Amino acid sequence: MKHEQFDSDDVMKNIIRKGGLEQPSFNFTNTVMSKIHSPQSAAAFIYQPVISRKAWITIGALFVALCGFVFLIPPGGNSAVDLSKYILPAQQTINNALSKIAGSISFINSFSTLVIIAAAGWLLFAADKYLRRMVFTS
Amino acid sequence: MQYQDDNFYIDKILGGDTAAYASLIDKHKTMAYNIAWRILKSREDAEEIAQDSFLKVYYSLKEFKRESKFSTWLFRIVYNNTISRVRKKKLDVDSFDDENYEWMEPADTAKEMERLSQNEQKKYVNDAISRLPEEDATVITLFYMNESSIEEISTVTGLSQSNVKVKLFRSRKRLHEELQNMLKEELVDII
Repeated sequence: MKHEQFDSDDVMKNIIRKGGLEQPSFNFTNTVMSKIHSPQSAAAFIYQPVISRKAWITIGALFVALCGFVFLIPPGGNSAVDLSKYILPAQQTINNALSKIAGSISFINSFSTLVIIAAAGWLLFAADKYLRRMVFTS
Repeated sequence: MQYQDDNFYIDKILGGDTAAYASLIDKHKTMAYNIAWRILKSREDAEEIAQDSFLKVYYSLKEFKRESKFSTWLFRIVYNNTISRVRKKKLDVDSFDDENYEWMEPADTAKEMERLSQNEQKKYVNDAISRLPEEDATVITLFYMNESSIEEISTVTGLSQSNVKVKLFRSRKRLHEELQNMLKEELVDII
């Protein structure tokens, strides 16, 4: 980009340039390159996400397992599971499962529970993205 | 030594040629070092900051989006790391004595400077810059030594472009006054 002269003052410019630039040490570059190849350096500088991929998979699996667990439990609490009895329209099935999750909190309906769970998942994801951006712009 | 464009080296590094990073370091190490040195006023600390910044840049190279110049991104990291170090150490910047000077025009100051040896001129200018606040010293260094644009300086320091212009104007005035003071003292010592 072209150097801007917002206030032409070549005299001060020449004076300031007399200061020159200090030179770093002779082996500056070699020192950096040698650290690049060291495992300790890689561990110190390679970005580690706040929520790792494994953690995300675990959270997702737990959520799916929870939904599946609630879906499979018969309303009467019987231990026998007969899937054929619970093949209901999709909307009714989901509502039943979420009602069980809500439990005794009667003022929370199924839709609100779904929204809360979705919002929690989104917040986790957004927090990871935000923290990642902070690390790379710092 | 003639260097290629930064993107040439970045593409090689991302392609697996780690050795190409040495050329990028050689190209930008002097300015990176000076940004840190102007603020920290310590060769060892400035070297450490500059080297750590180059390492951080290397490991983050895949994330570099090339929306700005590589040097702007690098210098921003150096500047931020330097400021963090200053805040940790709570270094004090020498305050500027606001004495009343008999005002000389910059051209007269330049003539007075010419009487000094090259080493003395360098020392005086560097001493004067070292008395500026850290942001002002960085702005002056980038603008005059690196010929960075106002926009680039704004990106490196996080200041608005209008703020950069104001700091440039005020810093030049302060530098001029500081040099006048030093030249007066030199004259007194000689007498």
